[in-house]
Amino acid sequence: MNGLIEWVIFIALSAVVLIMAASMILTMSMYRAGLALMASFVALAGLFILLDADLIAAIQIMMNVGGMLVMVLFMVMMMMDPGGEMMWSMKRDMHIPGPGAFSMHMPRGEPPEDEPTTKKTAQPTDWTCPMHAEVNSPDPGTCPTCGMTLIPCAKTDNGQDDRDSTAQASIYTCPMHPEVREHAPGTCPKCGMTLLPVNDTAQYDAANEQQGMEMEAVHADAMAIPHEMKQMDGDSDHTMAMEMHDDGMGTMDMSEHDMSNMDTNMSGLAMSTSSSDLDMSSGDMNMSGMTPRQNYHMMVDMAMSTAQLPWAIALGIASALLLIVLILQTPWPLAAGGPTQDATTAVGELLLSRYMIGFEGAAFLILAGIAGAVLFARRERSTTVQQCEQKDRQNTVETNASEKTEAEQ
Amino acid sequence: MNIILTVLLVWLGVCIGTYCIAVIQQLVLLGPRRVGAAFVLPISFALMLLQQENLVPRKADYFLFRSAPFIALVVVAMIALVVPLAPNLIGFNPSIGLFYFIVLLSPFVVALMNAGWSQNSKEGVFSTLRAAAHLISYEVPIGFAAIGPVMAAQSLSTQQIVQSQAGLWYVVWQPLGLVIYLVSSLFVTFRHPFDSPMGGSELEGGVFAEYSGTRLLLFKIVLDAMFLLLMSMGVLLFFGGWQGPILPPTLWFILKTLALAAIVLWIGRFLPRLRSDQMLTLCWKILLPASLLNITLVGILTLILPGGS
Repeated sequence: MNGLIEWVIFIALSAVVLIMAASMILTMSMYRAGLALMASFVALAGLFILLDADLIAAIQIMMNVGGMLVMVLFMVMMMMDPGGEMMWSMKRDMHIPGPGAFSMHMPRGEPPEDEPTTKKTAQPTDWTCPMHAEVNSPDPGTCPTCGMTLIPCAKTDNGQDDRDSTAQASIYTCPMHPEVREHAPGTCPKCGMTLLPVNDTAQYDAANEQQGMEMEAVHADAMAIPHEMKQMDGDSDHTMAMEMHDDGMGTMDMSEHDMSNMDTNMSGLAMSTSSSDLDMSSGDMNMSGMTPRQNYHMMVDMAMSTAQLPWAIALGIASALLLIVLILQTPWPLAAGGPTQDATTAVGELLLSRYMIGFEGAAFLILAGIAGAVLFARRERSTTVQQCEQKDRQNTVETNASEKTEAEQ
Repeated sequence: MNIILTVLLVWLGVCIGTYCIAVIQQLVLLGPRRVGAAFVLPISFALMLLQQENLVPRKADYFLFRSAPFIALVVVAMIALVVPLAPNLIGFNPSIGLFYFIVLLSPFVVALMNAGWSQNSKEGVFSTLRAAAHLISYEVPIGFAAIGPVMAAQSLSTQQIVQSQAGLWYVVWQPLGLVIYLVSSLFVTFRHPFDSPMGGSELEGGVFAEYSGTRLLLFKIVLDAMFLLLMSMGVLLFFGGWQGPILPPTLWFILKTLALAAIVLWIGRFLPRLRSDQMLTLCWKILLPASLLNITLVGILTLILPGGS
């Protein structure tokens, strides 16, 4: 009976360990991933307790849960999207199938050439209405049906020039700050986002002037997209646009089998991207307004997995099999009888006898580290305080001077 | 069956103790003239919270928001198991009782972080950062302060630590450790001078900003119970636990715990509330070096004092 209960507890705890480890990989929220990792470690500590190793279990909980807590804390403080809302809304709005984070996988094969390879789809006109897709006009202006400002939908012909301009894109701008113009790639001085090439500056300017209500156009685009985009509220729309631009505009890659059911969405997204005037004029329009190479790099940025993942999985399975074989081959029990001594006492005695020098050395190093950290913190604070004091002094001097001049007047 | 009975009994004790802590807190607030009000107010607060609607914010994290109070409750229940009221009157007696106690403080932080994070609000996230950063910081001095008695008693078992204080209470020659322990425990439970993560007007109640009704009541109970357990552990570590003349050991233990709690809460009222960065400074620049100094002193004294080791 007792053995049966032990087996049940063992299997339950192992299941928790495995399920939590899997959910850590699958979730898009970093916060939840951290929690899942903690839960996995705690269940592992439960397994240790089942083996009568209380001390190791307690250390396991203290080190790992404490460490994970610090990690989660830093993630919430530092990361842009600790809750995974951006990733999740992308997945939802683009109907990417598959469980959680695995649906956003690495693109296959080598990165394509820098030169655009596909023929561009020549479209008869440049400008269209965000609300009325049938409106086509060769010139910018307003929609005859609803009066909205037209947006450029795709670049037409005089193809050769444009293709050249793609290769020679020499002016870079920030997706969020169009007034930033740089001659070299880099990051935006205002917000730190990656700069994007502007291929046809003339058209860029024209479009920028024509569209007084750029943001509204973006929103209207989202409205025009046939699927759930409609239901997005302002917030997620905004985050979505942010994410797009951040990662080099455009849309997610999809594997071939997803292609068909995403077609409609993709064109919509292409429109929404193009409405921000950035690369709608690139010579190649592979639905998302990006060259294959740009698309490839964006996918590498977006992917939740890495190129090494299959190898890592294979390695993990192989080592698990090896461990199982090892456990089956070992003659159990290894030592006759249980431990005769209290584990903590034994550890304490060993620390104070055989490992004394190492123990003292580690303690001394930690102490020196803490003392040094305190010293550094003190010095830093004192300099800032000095600066503040200097400023105060200057201010008082200035105010005194101004008071004097006033009095003289 | 036996285990369940033990857990229930321990919980009953924790509930009564929590009520006592709440009464002491009211007494400290109201003064000695309104004793009756101090006894009634905790109950009326509890009834008020029980009548409240259990609000859940619209975009809150469904599972985390609901589970956070219960995680905290389970952690406190598990901690309460290792506090001995008298020799052999203990829920669960592992050989590493004190270590177990300190280890379980970090899941308590997890519960509070979940509570703040799952609300999906700015105040919640800010108070999560504050509460978690401070709790993680203050676990270090608490652990180091508790190492002093462990070194002297040469055991991690709570029973052993109390029995080794038969001759001399550790507070006599480890006053620094006691002070560090009490300051840190005030902090861990967000008592008065250190309650800015729960900041009333600043962060709208901190990590409990969106909680109401029974869940808020659970959190309040858990915080008070945590304070009670920390105080009882302080009595075990520094004031000789249940030892004392004439009265039965259990009564001695309860009296000591409540007296220590009353003194700590009362002294806390005289201190000014600290800012967030001041609290971290106090922890890392003062309490941590002081606790290391305490360990060194205790080590030397243990070697010198004849009855020390």
